[in-house]
Amino acid sequence: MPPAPLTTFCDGCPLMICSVHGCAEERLRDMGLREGARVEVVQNSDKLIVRLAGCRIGLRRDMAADILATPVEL
Amino acid sequence: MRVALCGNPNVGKTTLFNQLTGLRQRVANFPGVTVERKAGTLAGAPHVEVIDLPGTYSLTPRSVDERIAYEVLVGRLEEGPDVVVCVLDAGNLERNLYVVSQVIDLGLPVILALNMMDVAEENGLVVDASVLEKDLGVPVVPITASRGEGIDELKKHILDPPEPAQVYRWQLMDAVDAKIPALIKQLAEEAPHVKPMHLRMEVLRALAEDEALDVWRLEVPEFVNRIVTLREEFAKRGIAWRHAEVSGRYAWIGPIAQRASRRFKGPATLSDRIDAVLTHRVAGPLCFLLILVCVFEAVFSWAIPAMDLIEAGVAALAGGVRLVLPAGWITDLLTDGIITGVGNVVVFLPQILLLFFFLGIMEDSGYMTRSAFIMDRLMKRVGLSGGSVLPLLSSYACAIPGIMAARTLDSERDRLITIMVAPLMSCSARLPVYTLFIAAFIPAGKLMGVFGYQGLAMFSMYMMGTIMAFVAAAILKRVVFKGPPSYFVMELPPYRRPRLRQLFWRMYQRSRVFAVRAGKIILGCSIVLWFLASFPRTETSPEAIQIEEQAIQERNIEYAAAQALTPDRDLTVAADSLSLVDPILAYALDLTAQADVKYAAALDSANIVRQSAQIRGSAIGYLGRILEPVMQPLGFDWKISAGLVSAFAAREVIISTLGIIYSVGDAEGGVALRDALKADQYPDGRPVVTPLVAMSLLVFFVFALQCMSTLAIARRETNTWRWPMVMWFYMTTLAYLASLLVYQGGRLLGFS
Repeated sequence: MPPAPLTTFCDGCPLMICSVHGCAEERLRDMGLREGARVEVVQNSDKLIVRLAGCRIGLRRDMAADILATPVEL
Repeated sequence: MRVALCGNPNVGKTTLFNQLTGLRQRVANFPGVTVERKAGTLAGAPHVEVIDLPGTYSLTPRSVDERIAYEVLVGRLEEGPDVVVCVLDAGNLERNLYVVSQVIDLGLPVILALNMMDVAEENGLVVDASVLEKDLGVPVVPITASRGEGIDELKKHILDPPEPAQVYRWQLMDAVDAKIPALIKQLAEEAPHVKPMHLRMEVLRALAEDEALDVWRLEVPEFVNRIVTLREEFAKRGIAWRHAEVSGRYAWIGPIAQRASRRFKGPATLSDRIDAVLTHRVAGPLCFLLILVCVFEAVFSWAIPAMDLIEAGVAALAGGVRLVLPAGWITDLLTDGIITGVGNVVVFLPQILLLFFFLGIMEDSGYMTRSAFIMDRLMKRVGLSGGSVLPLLSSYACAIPGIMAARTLDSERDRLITIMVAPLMSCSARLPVYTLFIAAFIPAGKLMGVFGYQGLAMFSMYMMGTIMAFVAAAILKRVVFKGPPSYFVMELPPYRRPRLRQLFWRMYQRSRVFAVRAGKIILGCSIVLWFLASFPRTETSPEAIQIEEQAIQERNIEYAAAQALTPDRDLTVAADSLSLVDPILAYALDLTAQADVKYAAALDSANIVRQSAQIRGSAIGYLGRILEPVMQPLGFDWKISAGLVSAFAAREVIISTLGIIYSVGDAEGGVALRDALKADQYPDGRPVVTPLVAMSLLVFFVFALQCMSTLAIARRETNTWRWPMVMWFYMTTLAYLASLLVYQGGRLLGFS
């Protein structure tokens, strides 16, 4: 499956981040949301909560749309 | 020996700091900046100083906190540490190891404290500390800071620090790496004060971050030009130079984190289940609102017994002092000035403690960050991000920590706007004023039998300030601080049960600040105000003398009438046993007793008239009367105007001022301030403080910036007087106009 924005995945979906763009890409990488990182969408509504290893990160929908990811097996 | 604690936010660094120092700590600021510097001595080793650095995701300067952490570690702000303890959240190893890799590269002895192993396991993650130790080459100590586990082992390593680990074990992408040695050489030549060990880090930071490059712009312009040229060259060749360091470090630490941790898929955690409700797009904001209503209701109603107790204690103390000391102006100063003045403010300590208690629970449980998350949608509309919610919520306690908390924001524009609007959030100093006027003028009933009207009135004061803060932020963002929209990304830590010991410790520290403030500023102000209210002396009041003379005459007439009934008895001896058998004597004694009561009441009113004349003729009365024409459109008489002048430096001082204005010379210290306010009348018999006047005054206090400390801290944070002055003018104008609208609008609508 080609990479798609994080906002297109449903809750509980394990993913691998393929690319990070947008105005806050460096901050996202600092927080661990970088190319190759494995994440899981915990909540996909007006904002997103993703699980990265043992922590949860909340971010705006427009920022999440700039992160492209593909589903992976856990 | 100096030990620095370093690590990501929310990894339990402060809990570990408290464990290591046993709460023996000093809180100050780092030199030259207002970032809080917490330091203490290692328990059992007084020669070891432990410093708690601000939480940071990296040493790249994207916020003030990150810059400070880096500058302390490289010894630029103060003497550098001898050992660094990096605190890691075992649940998110990879992200936490990023800053560890940067600290190792500074060439310092590093110890890793692997915290929250239990939480990681709950989240389906098992971490092997020995793998980390072997791969990173630094000692790794598993700890559970909240329970004090592993602390002794960590202390052993601190007292016997390891050798610095091998630096730069990660690989930078070749195209970028090839250019680094020349840049290091150039920087070493042009800036010889930079330690050789830090040169590579400085070059990498300057290459990746504009802020880091700006630092060198004046000192080594040729180095800066070379970096700029290099960036252009990389961009032309399509090389991702900006995140070369990030990619290189993650390529090294990613596999290490994978080897050291094993993930098993567990069921949804408790935090996930709670978040499903509390961060829900509809239920989340509703829960947030409900929590705030409950907090303010509790702050208002739970504190009443303790407040009554303090009020009674203050009155008893003033009465006791009057009994012991001879009558005179020194006794008046002690009782009416100092004890009443300070007591009138200290009485609000229970409410302030409760407010700090609830804010502490919100912080420690992890709900505070959720409130930032759920409020982001609203904050986005006003041009800010959810990140500004934390400083704004902190401002409910006090605008000063709120303004300082704004430094965690990445965007300088967001930081300035947050500073400009934070004082609109109702702080604890406004609480005494709200409480006094709400208790006096809002009925005590309950809406639908649940929420008290007084609690709701208090809540609406807070909401008014909050809504205005949002409106002001929106205007500032669109008119003054124009720019691209801000972003919001924030870690949501797992929900934790607040540790009561730490919660109470923080409550104690914060309330001590309030009490010391009451002790210093308010004590000083109370003394000055007492003098202003007591001098110049108005020795005679014809009206009071007339009341007294009339009272004596009436008493004599009534005594004579009673005496006429029983001419052979001495009525001044009240307990005449014959009155039991002689009804005429009993009746005559009753008449004299009634005459005595009327006489005492007349003397009291003469006293009040004399006090009123004294205050009116005093310096503060003069000041209040000068201001009265300006403040009259808001419904304020000269006494409230004088109170407002005195509250310029600190809001809560108005309570002491009104207390002094209304109770000077009151021997019993008896009539509570709110009763005195309700009873006060103009000469024509109209009440001075009506519910509408109280509402107008409350609105004035919601919006006005009457706090010297806030102005001073805003000056330090913005490094100019321009913004604090703008802040003062816009808030004072807003307060005046809003009060005018409430009072005149209320009168037009027929309210009194």
